[in-house]
Amino acid sequence: MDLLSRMEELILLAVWKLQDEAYGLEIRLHLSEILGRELSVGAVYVPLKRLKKRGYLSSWDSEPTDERGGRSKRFFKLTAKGVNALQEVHSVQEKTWRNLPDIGLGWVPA
Amino acid sequence: MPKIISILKILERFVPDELHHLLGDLEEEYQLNIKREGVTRARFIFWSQILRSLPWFILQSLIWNTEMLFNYLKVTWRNLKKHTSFSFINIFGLAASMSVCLLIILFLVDQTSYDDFSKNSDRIVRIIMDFKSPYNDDSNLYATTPASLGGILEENYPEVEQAVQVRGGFNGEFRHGETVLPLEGMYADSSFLPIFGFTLIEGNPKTALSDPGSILLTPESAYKIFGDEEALGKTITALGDQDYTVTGIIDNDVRTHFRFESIASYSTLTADTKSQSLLQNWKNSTYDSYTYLLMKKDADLQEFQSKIQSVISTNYADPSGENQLKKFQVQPLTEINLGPALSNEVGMVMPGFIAWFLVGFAIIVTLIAVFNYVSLTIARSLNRGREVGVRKVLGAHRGSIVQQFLFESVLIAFSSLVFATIILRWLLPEFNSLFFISFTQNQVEPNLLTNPETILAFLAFTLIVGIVAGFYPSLYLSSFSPARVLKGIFNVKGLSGQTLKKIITVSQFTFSLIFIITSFILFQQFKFMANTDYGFNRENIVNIALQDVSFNRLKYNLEKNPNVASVAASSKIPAIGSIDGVWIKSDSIDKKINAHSFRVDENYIQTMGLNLISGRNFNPETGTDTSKAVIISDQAALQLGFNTPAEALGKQITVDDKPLDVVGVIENFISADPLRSGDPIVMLYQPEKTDYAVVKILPGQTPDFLAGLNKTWLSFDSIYSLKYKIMNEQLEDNPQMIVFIDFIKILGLIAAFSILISCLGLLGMAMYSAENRVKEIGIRKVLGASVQNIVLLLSREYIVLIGISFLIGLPLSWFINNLWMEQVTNKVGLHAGVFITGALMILFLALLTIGSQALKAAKTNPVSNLRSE
Repeated sequence: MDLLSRMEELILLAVWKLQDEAYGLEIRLHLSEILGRELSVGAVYVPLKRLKKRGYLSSWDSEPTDERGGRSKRFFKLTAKGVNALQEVHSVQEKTWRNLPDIGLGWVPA
Repeated sequence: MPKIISILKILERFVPDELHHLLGDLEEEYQLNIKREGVTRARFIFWSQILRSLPWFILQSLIWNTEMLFNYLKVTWRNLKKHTSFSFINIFGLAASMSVCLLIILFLVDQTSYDDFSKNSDRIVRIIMDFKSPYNDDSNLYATTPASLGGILEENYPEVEQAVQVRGGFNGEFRHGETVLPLEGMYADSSFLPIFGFTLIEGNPKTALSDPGSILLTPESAYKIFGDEEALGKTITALGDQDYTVTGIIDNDVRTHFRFESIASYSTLTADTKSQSLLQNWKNSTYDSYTYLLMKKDADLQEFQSKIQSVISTNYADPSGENQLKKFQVQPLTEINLGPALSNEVGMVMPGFIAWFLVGFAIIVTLIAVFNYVSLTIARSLNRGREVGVRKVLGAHRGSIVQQFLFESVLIAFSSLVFATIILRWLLPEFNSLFFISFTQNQVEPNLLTNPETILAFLAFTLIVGIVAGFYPSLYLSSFSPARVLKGIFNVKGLSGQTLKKIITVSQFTFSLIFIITSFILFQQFKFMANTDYGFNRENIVNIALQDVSFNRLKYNLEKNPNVASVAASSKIPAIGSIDGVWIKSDSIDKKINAHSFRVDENYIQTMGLNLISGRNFNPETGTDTSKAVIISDQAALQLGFNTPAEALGKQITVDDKPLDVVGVIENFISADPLRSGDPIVMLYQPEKTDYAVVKILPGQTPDFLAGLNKTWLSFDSIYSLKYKIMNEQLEDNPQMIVFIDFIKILGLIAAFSILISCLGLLGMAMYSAENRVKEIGIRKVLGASVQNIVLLLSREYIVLIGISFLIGLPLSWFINNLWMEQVTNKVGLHAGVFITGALMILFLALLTIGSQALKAAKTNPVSNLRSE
């Protein structure tokens, strides 16, 4: 089984969350907000590229816009394979969290 | 902020298109942050993003570029393989011309390394002077300066840390036990070794040149005198009984402009009253003394030079007011070699103009090969154009196409480098055997090839050749518009490829023609000089250097020898390049003229077979000929203003201001060297002041005579060993003649290379046009064209081009050769024959090249050409 890394998982989730607005800058800003720290360009784009290469994401380029100096946006979208991968991660996580002794989170999974 | 936007624009050019959206993100974020957090913060965020991502950006662009490089490599390789003959022509042509350039680079690397072995080399300068000697009309630059100059400069100018005194003229024969060896060298003071950084293999460098009578030997001369014995501390005796103690063995395995077999201490000169007084007279000491200075670290040489001019008026002024010493110049040590050619140079210095001359040739030959590359690549633009079209359609921009073609040409240049070094291995010994190289000990060592400096220079040169060769083709090919090219339309604005191709062919053949004609003319001139009538008898003459033997004793002894026809005395051997200049004047002319003088005895004219036109020979019985008589040549008579030789008889002329009566007139002969004829000559009757015995041997008896000569010489008990030369051999070994052969060799090689490369280019073009017109030829044949018709059709264009190059090249080569011919008085002259031969030779080779291809195309069966469609 080819498990996603934590960063990849976060990125796929961000793409899912942002839906039609899922392009580089938005993804990075969103993740920076969640993580509470500024992410570098490389930290986001390298996994994005890898995820695309592995077929979890597809991408298309928008028309160029002025505020971007005449450059286009590259939008990302989850593929079916990407959705599967997320589901897989989710089920593994669920299993790992299930039936744990109390670790003081005040939250016991069902 | 325009600054940051432009940074992004710049980045855009370096990262692959793939990542442009990313730059868009950065810009958008920046604009966003300006609104949200202000410009300063936005800038800060931007820069921190850029800095954090820079390594990753660089990595990305590297990966991208290597990926493309691999693609270029693949395409280059496919093209090379697909068009083997074109590739061969390109690579071989470049390799041939590059090998010549590599040789010149090696030579320059070697030559520029002169005198930089010392840690002080950038602080040492030599003072040279502009000086008008009484023997010349104009002033000349001399490497020498008055002996006292060093002391004066060291004392009065704070910039000078220390002066080094060097004096030439230390030579003669040295005896140790039974061994007698002639040594050449110079005098140098005790600061010479530490300042120049010469090392001693044996001996103490601090004291080796301190005491009078100290001598340093090179390992070779030490071995010649002492063999395997220890040399240090031994005494050798110079003629004149001056004893020298060997105080050191000097390491001469360094590149230096000094040439010496031995160095004597300068104090030897100052300790001797006679030489001391010579040194104190600045005019007498100035022809052989050298002033080197170690300057302080921050000395301004320009300023120093202008400051020291005042030394002339205070110390070296002439009472007449017109100073002989015009100017001092400061010459940095490392610029001595490959610098200007100076009079009285201390050693053997390669003058800069020779290096430039060679560099010029190398550049022309490279250009000829580069032209081939350009024209062949452009000729093939039909094929490559499609590739360019496809690449552009797939999103390549012009920059990357230019990159691709430059990469390709650089790659071809580097493959040529491999072959060029192979050719170089063969050229190098040839180059080293050239006279001006071997005589001046400037041989390029093959191990210099592995010197990092050389390798770097080779690689840089190859890169430059590649870029220069690929420059125009890459711009040309990348300008194609994909839509038109893919439709098969090939006309581009600007200089069209066709015109350029024509210009290239014409210039290649013009150069080739000039080279070949010039080398022909040089060769003719050489043959002319070798067979020239010297105007004197050169057969069966042996010249013996008198040295310390009196001429009369030698003559008495030789005249008893049955093999000897006659014996004469002379101060000079004619036509071997050395002259005694004198100023002569008659009442009929206003200005003194320069003449060559010979001091001779009464037998000289007859022994040398000179032709006495008018008047009489010297006669010892008059008793006054020694002080009053002069014999002049007909040329001298003419220049002195006498209309006929007979008119000069009995007239008084002055020779170096001394009045003499003309008693005879001889026919002019070649007095200086075979390049010059018609120089005025005067002969003075001074048998006591001669240096050579000129011996005429009976025909065929020379070997017999020479066999007994040494025995005769030994009977005189001379301290010198016998020195003699056979006149004929001496004339043939004349340095000027041998340098001439060097020129012929260099130019001949260049001519051969440029013709070869030009014909290769022509071959490529002919092949290509035959290939492209294969269908046309097929149709023409089917419609009844004969083989001749087709050959003519295919060759016509090139024959016209070669014709044009002849129209340019023939007058140009006449002009160039006339230029140097004007300096030569004993010349063969320019004949139409040489020009016609050169032109015919090139025409023949060119026709052979084109014809072979045209014939091949014309002979193919039209069916096989036309069936494919």
